[in-house]
Amino acid sequence: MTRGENSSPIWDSIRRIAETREQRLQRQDVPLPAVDKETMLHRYHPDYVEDYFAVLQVGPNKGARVAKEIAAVLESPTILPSELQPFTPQHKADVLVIGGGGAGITAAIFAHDAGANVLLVTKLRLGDSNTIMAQGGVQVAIGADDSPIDHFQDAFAGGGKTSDPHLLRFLVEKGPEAIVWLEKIGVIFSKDENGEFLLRKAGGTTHPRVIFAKDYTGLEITRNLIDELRKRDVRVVEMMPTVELLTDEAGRCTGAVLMDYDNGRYTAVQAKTTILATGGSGRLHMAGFPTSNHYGATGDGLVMAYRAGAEVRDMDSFQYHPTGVIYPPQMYGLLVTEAIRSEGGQLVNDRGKRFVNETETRDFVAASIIRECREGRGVTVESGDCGVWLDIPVIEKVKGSNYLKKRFPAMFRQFQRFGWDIRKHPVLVYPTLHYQNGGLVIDGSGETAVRNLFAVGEVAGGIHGHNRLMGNSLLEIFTFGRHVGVVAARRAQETPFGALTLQHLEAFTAAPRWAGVRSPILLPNYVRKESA
Amino acid sequence: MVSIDIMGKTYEVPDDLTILQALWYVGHKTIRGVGCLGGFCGACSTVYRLPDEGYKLHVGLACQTNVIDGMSLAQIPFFPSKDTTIYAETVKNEEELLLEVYPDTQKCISCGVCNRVCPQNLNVMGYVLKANNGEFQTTVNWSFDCINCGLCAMKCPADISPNLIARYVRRQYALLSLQPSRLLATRIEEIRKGKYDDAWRELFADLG
Repeated sequence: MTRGENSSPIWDSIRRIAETREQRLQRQDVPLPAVDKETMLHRYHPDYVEDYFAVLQVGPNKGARVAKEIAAVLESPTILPSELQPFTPQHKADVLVIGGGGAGITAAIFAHDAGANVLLVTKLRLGDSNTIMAQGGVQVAIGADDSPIDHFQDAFAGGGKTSDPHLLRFLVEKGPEAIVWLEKIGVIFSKDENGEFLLRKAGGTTHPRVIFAKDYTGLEITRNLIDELRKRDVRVVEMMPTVELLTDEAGRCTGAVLMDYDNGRYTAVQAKTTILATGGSGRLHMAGFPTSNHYGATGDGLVMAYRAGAEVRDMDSFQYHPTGVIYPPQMYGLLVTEAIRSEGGQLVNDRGKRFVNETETRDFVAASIIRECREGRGVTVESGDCGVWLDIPVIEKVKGSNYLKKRFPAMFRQFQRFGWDIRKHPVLVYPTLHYQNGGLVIDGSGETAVRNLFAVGEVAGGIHGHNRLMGNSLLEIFTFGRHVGVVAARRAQETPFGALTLQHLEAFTAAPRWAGVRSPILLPNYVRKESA
Repeated sequence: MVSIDIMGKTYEVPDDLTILQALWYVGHKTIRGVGCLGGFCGACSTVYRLPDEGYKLHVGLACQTNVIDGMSLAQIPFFPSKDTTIYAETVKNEEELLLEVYPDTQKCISCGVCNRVCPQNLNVMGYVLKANNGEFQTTVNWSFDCINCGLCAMKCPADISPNLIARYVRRQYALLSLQPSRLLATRIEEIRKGKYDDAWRELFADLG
């Protein structure tokens, strides 16, 4: 049921791609452009467009360069009404976990198992997160000729040598144990006939080391995590966003304020330690880019922690995943997993020519696509958006028919629902906002500059430097989630409940340059202006 | 533009929108019934009827379904189901336990309605019957792509929750039957025994 194949410019272009497919079968490395990687990024990557950034004027990182959208939410006044104080806690917990994605659930499980009384709160349903959408897989160095050292070096180089090396070492060294745990709780990964993991290669790496569960890796992991959590005596509160943290007279974190969507009421939670696992910020649409992120990825955790005194880092660095969909239009912004390129999918311009080695790091591939469009070799659709073709049918030319349906059932379905057969036709792609490379500064135990406030997952920074490799974020939430959960539980044993105040908000009463903004944002607003 | 009816109110919307985009277009501020926007999370289950079709009820995910002229729709963001987290310790009692914790598994009347409503096009009835027969591995394979949207449970005339039975069987199967990976065990042993310690020291010395 492919859409009408007529003589529009789009279909002319698609036919050119089909005509050059046979020639491109012998995939050889594309000769690199005459510029080096650094120059390429400087010229074409959004991280280097000065207009997209602002310098912070308030808070712990005053003077730092961050994305404008981030500056706006970090500097703006709270959404919390001022007359709520003093707070009487409706909930008490040793450990409060904020966020119901992979990082939050993992931390909650390990905090509970370390003896803590745990409360997990999440603004949507338990499991609603970027984790559940992860298709590509988890990167872990288990191949016989691979090693944690190689994994470290690939990730360090891929991130522009800006990662915190100690955090990165923890990630790669603890990775294998985290995977053993996932298997132990029932996660079914894709295996070969001998029961060993199938491995695929991430962009910018030296060995195949990405394990996966078809292209439902995040879904398979999340549903098992949820079930593991529910087996335990952990209180879970859903559909209740956290709107501010609470601190005592010494500036230590002592809990949080929640809001009930259904009746608008506020609730205070008193906690000995607090773990922020609120994820990323793609739904703030940095520089106006579309995003592959979950509906809830609005950077709330960053905002709350920043106001409480935590520092951020690298908030001028975002991952633009090279292959976000431009056409068909209903799928605008949706991600095509990197695994497609890993398995032989090709990036092709309007002339039917490849222009980049598809398995380069994401920042470089994204910059290369932007270059094609800027220099007139892209394909422009009716909406005015430009993109290049991701030739997916070429995969089956090499790996045989039915390969796509078997290995990528999720993707096959997504496109089939809109009448697009990825076995026959390429997909038009352009970089889409995918991952917050930076985040809250954490130490080796995941603690922020605010005592008793921990951060884990995408909200935390420092692990991936300026560019994350495929599969390293899933690995991060399990390695660090396990660790931070235990550390926070132990800390809670020696920590009394503290006073519940909002004194840290005093510096954030007005931000004239972001007129009208109040934060945290909680949910994006896509309501058409004329209809509101 | 097409005309669609959202819970009884009629609106004109552009024809290339998904149902969710149409909700935003007409002014709905979505909180429930929206999630990953990519077809993975099962939050945006939606039912609709089309004109001139009489009784037929269609289902879909709001983020993955194009609007159709004349459609009348409502979202079902949550469907109550009985849940359990008790698993068998040995292969001997796993089938028995399934029927204890999910006795509804035996009530399937093979009507096939679940297959018709599954937005993932899974053989839902097939995997329920296989589970009932103790063929857990088949249930695992046939149900693997389930996104737990709950539409099958909503439609089942025998009040079965196939999505939960499937999750239970997959976990039960994995907990008892998965063989641990040798590659993983070897690597962990190597790390524990310090095989990479020298390389780490060198590497960190270089980093300063």
